[in-house]
Amino acid sequence: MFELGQLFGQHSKLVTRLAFEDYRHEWVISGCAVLALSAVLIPLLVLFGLKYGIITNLLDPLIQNPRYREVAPIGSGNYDPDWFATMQARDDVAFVVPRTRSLAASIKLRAVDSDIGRIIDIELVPSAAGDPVLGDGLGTPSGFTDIVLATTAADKLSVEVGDRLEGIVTRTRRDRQESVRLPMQIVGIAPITAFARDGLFVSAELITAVEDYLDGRAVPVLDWEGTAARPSDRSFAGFRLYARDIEDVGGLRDDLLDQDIEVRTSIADIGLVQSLDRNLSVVYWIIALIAIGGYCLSFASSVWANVDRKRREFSVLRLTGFRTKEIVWFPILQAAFTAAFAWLLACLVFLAVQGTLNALFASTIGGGQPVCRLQPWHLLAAFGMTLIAAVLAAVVGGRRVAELEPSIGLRD
Amino acid sequence: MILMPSNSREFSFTPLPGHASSDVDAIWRDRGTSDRLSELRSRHIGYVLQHGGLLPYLTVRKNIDLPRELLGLPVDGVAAELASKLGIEQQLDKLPAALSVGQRQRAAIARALAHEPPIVIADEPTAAIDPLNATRIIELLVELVEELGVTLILATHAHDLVRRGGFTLIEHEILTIDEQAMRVTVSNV
Repeated sequence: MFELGQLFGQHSKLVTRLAFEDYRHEWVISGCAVLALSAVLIPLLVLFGLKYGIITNLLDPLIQNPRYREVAPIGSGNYDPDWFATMQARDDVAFVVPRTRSLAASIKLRAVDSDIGRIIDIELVPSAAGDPVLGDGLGTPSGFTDIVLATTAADKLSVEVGDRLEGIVTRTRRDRQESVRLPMQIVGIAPITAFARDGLFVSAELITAVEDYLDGRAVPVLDWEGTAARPSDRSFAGFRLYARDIEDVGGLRDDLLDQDIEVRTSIADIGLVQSLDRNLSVVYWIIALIAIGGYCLSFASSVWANVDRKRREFSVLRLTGFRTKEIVWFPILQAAFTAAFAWLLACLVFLAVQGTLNALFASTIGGGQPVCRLQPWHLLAAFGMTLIAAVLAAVVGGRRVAELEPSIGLRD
Repeated sequence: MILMPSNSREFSFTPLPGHASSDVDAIWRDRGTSDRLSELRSRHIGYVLQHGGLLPYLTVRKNIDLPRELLGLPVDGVAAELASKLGIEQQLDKLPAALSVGQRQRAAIARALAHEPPIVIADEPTAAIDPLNATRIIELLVELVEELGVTLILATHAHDLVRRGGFTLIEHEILTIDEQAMRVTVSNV
């Protein structure tokens, strides 16, 4: 089995301690190396923080608002239960529910418990568990009674969660006006950000029953009279469909277009931000690669010079009995120390700069959101990349150490 | 002891078979890979270099302890005992830069002997020291190697100093070392 000692030699702790003692002893040179690396890292962190902050500010509304994930059909179609089952099974589909007609059905609604005798016309919106517009914790429309009411309608009727409502569905059949009343209970109030109009989120079975009644058909389960009931395997004219992620909207749109289903999406808005993100990323990484590349060359040459300056000390270590594969770690470990301290310093300075930038610009160009920010994993990734770059540059020094003969200590 | 004319060039040492203890012969026979040689150096040889060869970032105590740490030997009190014998016990916790040249050489002698090697190689250990100190250092070195039963290989230009130390000199001769044949030739100039 591979052991660390095979790579590092038998005296890893001793070598690490000696490397750190030397690093600490030459604190001026070590400090300069740390400052030099920090000077490269700090602007890169700030630039990335600005890019990430600005793009996040643009992307967040798209991610958080399910409207941007909606794929809405244009016009009427003919979608059978198999089509809905197929769409629901797709990984890129978060939610799909049938609509009975392309234009939303509406009914009249009044509050049972409120003193306000107002009756409003309200749009029926088919819904189900997992509806992204309603989100978590708002209650789920189910059966023929449990509904979620939009805020605007709740305000007009002065009702709240738990109140009872009465829906009034009116139709004209055989030149006679007929109506049925449907008792309902509010299980949730949808915020205005979810639905800005007067809307009533109801189960698919309720909206189907209302639509059937409006079409003059009977709804036996609710004892509503009419012509023959629809078969259970009916087709639907439309759907409410939401992609799982904004990245999935484009693919879904293309697939539906392939099925000759014309749809409306917010892909233009999403594409604009994604394109901006890609372009800014390219610019950032070009700057970062030039800066890191330049630093690596500079650091490698300084490590080489440093090893040459200390060749007598390295030869003493060899004379004392340290093996080549042990002392080659000296410059590499010291590069790792430099990377760690420089990263720490760069993070501290970045946090200060981030605070200043956000205080100055969050209210003006950030829309109240921070314009410069990084996630903890960004900082950890920066540490990883810094460590790798510094260690790779120091390998040159390690190679130089490996070439040093023990006899240098005697000859010099 | 290898004694060189004062105008001769320095050269590196190689343990000489037949001129020292059986340990030397063992080292000569076991020489092989770089790692093996490193191990042999750590176990069997102590070095006193012309410039002392102390690591500047370690205290005198840590410098003396280093060969023992490398071998995994206990370090308790060894540095203090050797430092006491060499008269540098007050300097143990100082860095080499804070010591005089003579004190640094004494610390280097302590480090060379700390892990009790069978051989000590001293390369002009008194070259940078004033005559008075040089005499004392040679005397201390000789006392310690005799006390510890160590083979000393000493290179120096200081003929008078060595004569006072009680050594017999072979002057103006050249050592030719043939590693393949494991043979050393001593010839007159």
